[in-house]
Amino acid sequence: MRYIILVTIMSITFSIPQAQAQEILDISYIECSYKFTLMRDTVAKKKLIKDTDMRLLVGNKYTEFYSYTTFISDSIFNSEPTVDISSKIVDLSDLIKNSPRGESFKIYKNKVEKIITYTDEQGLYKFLYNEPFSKQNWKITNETKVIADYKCQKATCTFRGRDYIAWFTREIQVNEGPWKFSGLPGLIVKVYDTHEHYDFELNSMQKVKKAIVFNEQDYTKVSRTDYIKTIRRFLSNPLSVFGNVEYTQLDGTARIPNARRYDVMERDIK
Amino acid sequence: MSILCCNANAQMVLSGVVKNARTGELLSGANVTLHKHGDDNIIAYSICNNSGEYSVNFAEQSDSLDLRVAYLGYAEQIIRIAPQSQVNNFSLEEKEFVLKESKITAPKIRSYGDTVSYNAAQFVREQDRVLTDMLDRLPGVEVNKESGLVKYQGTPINRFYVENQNLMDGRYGEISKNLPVDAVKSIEILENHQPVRALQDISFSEQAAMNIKLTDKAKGKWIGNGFTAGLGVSPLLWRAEFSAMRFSPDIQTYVTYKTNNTGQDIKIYNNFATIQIIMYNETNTNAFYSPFISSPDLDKKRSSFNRSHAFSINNLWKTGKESNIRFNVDYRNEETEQQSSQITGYYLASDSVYVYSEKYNVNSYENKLSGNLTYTRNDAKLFLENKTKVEANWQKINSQIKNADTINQRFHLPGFEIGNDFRITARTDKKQTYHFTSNNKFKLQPQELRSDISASTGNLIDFSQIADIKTFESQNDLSFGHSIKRVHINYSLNYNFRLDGYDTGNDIFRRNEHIFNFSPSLSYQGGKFKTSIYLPLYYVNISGSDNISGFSGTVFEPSLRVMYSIGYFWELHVGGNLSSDFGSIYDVVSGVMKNYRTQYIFDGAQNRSDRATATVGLNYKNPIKALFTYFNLSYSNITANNTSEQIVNGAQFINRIIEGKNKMHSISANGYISKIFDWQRCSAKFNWNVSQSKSQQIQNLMLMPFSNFSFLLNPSFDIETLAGQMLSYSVSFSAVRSTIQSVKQPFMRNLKQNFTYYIPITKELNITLVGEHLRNQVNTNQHVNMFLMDAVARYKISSKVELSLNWNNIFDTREYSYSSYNDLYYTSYSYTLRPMNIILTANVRLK
Repeated sequence: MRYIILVTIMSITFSIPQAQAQEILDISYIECSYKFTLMRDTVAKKKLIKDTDMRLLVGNKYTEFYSYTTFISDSIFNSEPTVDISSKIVDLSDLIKNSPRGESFKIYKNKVEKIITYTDEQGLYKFLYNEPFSKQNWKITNETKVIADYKCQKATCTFRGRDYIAWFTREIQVNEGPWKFSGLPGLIVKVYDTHEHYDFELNSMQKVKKAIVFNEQDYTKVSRTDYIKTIRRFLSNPLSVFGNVEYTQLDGTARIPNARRYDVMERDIK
Repeated sequence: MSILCCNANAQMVLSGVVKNARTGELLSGANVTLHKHGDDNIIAYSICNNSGEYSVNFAEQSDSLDLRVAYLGYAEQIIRIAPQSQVNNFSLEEKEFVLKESKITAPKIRSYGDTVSYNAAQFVREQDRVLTDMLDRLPGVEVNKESGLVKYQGTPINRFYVENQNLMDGRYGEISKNLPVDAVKSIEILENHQPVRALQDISFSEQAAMNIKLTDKAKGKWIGNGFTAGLGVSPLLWRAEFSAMRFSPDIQTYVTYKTNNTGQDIKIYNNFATIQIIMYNETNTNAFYSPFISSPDLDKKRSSFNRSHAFSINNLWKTGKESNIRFNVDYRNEETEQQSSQITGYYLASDSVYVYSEKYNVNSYENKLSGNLTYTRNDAKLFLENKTKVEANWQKINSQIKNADTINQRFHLPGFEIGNDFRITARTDKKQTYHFTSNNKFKLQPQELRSDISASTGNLIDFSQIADIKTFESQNDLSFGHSIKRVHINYSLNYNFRLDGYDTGNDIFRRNEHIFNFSPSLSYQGGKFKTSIYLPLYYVNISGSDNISGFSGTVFEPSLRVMYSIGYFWELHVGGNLSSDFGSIYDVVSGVMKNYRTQYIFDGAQNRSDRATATVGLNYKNPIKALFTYFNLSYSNITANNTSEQIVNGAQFINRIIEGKNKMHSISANGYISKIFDWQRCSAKFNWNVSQSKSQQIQNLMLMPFSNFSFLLNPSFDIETLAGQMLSYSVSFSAVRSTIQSVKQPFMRNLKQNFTYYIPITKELNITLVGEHLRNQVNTNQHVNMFLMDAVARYKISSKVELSLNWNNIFDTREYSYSSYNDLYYTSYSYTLRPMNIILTANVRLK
C-alpha cells in the first residue's frame, strides 16, 4: 500500500508521493475520537477548535493518538470515508489541496516497554523523538460530573509545567487518554490545563479493530528538548521552519509573519 | 514501576496479582480501585504492571472497603475488605464489553475533497419523522417542502442517490418524503458532480449531487412508513397510505399506494423536469390557461378539496458492478374542487385602472399514467444509457364563472407521449472521448375548450376551441474530444429538428424547425481553477404552413463559466453567455381562445429574442464551524423583435403579439446564510433576494414602459427551548413596487410567519402545534390578516404502532386571500379553505 505524504505550510503545497515501509504494531480494540481546542491567543483569550477529530486507538500493547482529519486529507487509500471512492475517479491533487488538514503530530505509546514515540511534520522537516513514560502523579478528587454521557471523576496532576484537570470514567476500563496522558483507572474523557490553553474532550468512541501502523519515513531523530525548542522558534517566527528565509513582499520590504500568541504544551523546557 | 499511588500518607498496602481466569494470562493494565463500601468514588488505585501485579497504598480509616478489579473485556470483581494490609489475587472472567449506541458520534459535518458529509445523528430532532424534515436543517441545503426539490448552495442538485444508486431519478422527493429519518446514517453532498464517470476529470459540473447513506440496520431491509389509515370529520374524511422501500446492494425498490380526501398532496414531482426544459428548450405545453389558482405561500393541503389515489412502483437491479436496469411506473387519479374569486386590475394609460371581477367554481378529474425503463452502464471508460418513457394523461376541467354573466368552461386536456433517449460516451486511455446522443419524442395532445354563456350581458360569446397538437422532436449529437494535459477540447456536431402540427379547428399551423450546430468547446480543470468555454454556431431553419413566417440564418451562442477556489472555504463563480430563442408553435398559433375571455393573437414577425446574461456568485462553506453562505448577482438583457400588447375590452381580454423591438433588463441578487450553533441545538438560516426589472408593453394602444422592484427577507431558526421542546420559527417579508409610465405605484407588502412547537409529554406521547399568520396586501390600501393553527397529538403504542390525532384549522379560517403582479395588471385572489376538522390516524411502521 502506498501512502501519500503531504507537507503544507502557509499555502505553499508540495506533494511527495513515495513508497514506505510500514509496520503494524498492534490491533486496536477500542477507538476514541477527541475534540482538540487550543487557546490561540492567550492574551485575548480566543479559543480555536484546532482539530475536531483526534483519534486514540487502543490496543493491548500499543496506543496511537493521531489526527483523523489529517489522515483523511492525506490518504485516499483508506476504507473509512463514507464516500465510495472506488466508484469515483478521484483527482489526487485536488483531494489533497482541497481538504483541511488537522494536527500533524502522532503519539505512539509502547505500553510494554513504556516508551513514547512522538512524530511530527513542520514545514519540510519530519521529526521523531522517543522518551520513556514519565509519571503523571494523578490525584483523585471526590468530584464527579457527567461528560459525554459518562459518569466521570475528577483527577489533577502537574505535568511538564502545566497543571491539568482530567475527568475519567470507570465505565470504560481503559487506563488511557489523549496526547501523552494515561494512568488513571478509566478512560480520560476530558483533560485540560488550569488556564484552559489546551483542551481535549471525547466526542465518541467505538469498538473497532484497526491496525495501529507506524510508517517508516525519513524522520529526523531529535531529542524532545530540541524538538520543543524548534517548535517554539516556529511559533515566534512561522517561517523559521524553512531555515533563514526572508519573506519579501511585492513592494520589496521584508515581512515576518505574525508570531503565534500561545506557548507550547510542554513548558518544562525553556 | 507502574505502581501509581495517590495517597502520600500511605499506611496500608493492598497487593496481589490479576489473571485471566480461563488462560491464566497475567493482566497488565487491569485497574484495581479502592472504594468506601457501596460508593463509586475512588479513594486509591493501582494499575497492574507487566507481571499483573498491583499495589494500592492507602490510609483510609473506614470500617468497610470495596476492592474492585476491572479491565475492559472482563467482568468486574468486587470484594469487601477490612482496612488492613493484605494480599488478594484475582482471576477475571472474560466478558464482552458493550458500548451504548447513542455514544457513537462523530463530527457534525466532515469535508474531504469534493465531498461534504453531514452526520445524520447530529442533525435529527425528536420531532423528525422522514428525511425531508431533517434536510432543511443542514447548513448549505435548502428543500422545497412541496416538490422535495433540493438545492445546495443555491443550485438544484443534479442527482439524488441512495447508497450510490439512482433509483428515482428526478422523482427523488418521494424518497425524501417517505424515508424514515432513523434509517439515515449520513447525507453526503458530492460537489461539482459529473454523473458520467467517463467524463469525471474532463468535464465538470456546477451542480452537486446528494447521496444518502443508510444505517447498517436499514440496509437490505424493508423500511418505510408502512401502513397508515385514518378517519375524520367533517365532512367524512379518510386517508390511507402504504409505503415501503428496500435498498440492497443489488436491488433497490420503492412501492407506494396513497389515497385521501384530506388535502394531502400525493403528486409525484419530477425535480429534474425544470432542468430538462432548459436543456431541451421545451416550452409550456398546455394550449389553455388553467382556471386553478394556488398561492406559493400556503400549504396546498389547506385548500385542496380532493379525492386522490396514487400508486408508484420503482425498481432498480444491478446487472453488473457498474450497470443497472431501472423501471418506474406512476399512476394517479385525482378529483379536485376549488372555489375562488378573482379581481383583476389593468393599469391603463393616464394612471387609471380597469377592474374585472370573477367568481370561480372549478372541478377537475385527472388520470395520469407514466413509466420509464432505463438501462445504464456507467464505468470509467464507458457510459451507456437508454431510457424509454411513456406518459398518458387525461384531464377534464369544468369551471363555472359568475360575474354579471354566467359562463361554463369545459376543458378536455388529454395527452400522450412516447420517447426514447439514447446516449453513449466512451473514453480512451489518452483521455479521448467519443459521444453520441439521440433523443426522440412523439407527443399527441387532442385538446379542447368549450365555453357556454348562459346569461350574457356583455360581449362574451359561446365558442368551442380545438387544439389538436402533434409534435415530433429529435435531438442528435455526435462529438469527439481529446485532452492536452488538463485541457479538454471537444467538437460536437448536432442536428435537431422539431415538427409541430397544431389544428385549431379553423386553421392548421405547421412549423418545422431544423437546427444544425457545430460546437467547439474547451474545458480546463486545475486544482483551484475550473473553466469551460462553448462556442456553438447554429444554422436555424424554420419553415411550415403559409400562416407561419419562416426564418433561416446563423446564430452564435458563446458561453463562458469560471470557477475559482479561494483558499479552502471560498469559491467564486463567474459566467456569461449569449443565447437566442425562436419560440415554439404555441407562440405563433394565432386567433385562439386561451380561456373563456382571453384571446391570443399573433401578428408579430418570426419570434426571436436574444439574451445576454452575466452572473457572479460567491460561495462559502466552513464545515468545522457549520457555517454556509452564498451570494449571487445576475444581470440579463433581452432584446425581442416582438412586443406584447394587451387590449381590455369589457370582459374580453386580448393578448396580442405585434412586431416591434422590445427590451428587457433585469438585475437580481440573492443570498443565503446558515449556521448551526451548539447552544440549545439551534440552527438558523437567512434567505434574501432583491430584483429590479425594466421593460415595456402596449396596453390599449399605448406604449407603457414599466419597471418592477421587489425584495424578500426570510430568516428562520430551530431551537430547543425547555427540556426536549423544539421551536421552529420562520418569518418572510416581501414587497413589490411597480413603476408604470414613471408613476410609482405604492409598495405591496406581504408578511408570513410560521411556527412549529414540539412538546414531548411522556416517552410515548407528544404534541405538535403548528401556527401560521399571513398578512397579505390585496390592494393598494387593504391588508388581510389570516390565522391558521393545527394541533397534532401522537401516541406510541409500541415501537412500530403509533396513533395520531390531528385537529386542523382550529380557528376555522375559511378564506385565503393574496395578490399577484403581472407587469401591467394585478390580480387579487381569494379561495376557500378546508373548515376545521379532526382526523384520527393509526400508523404501523415497517422495521
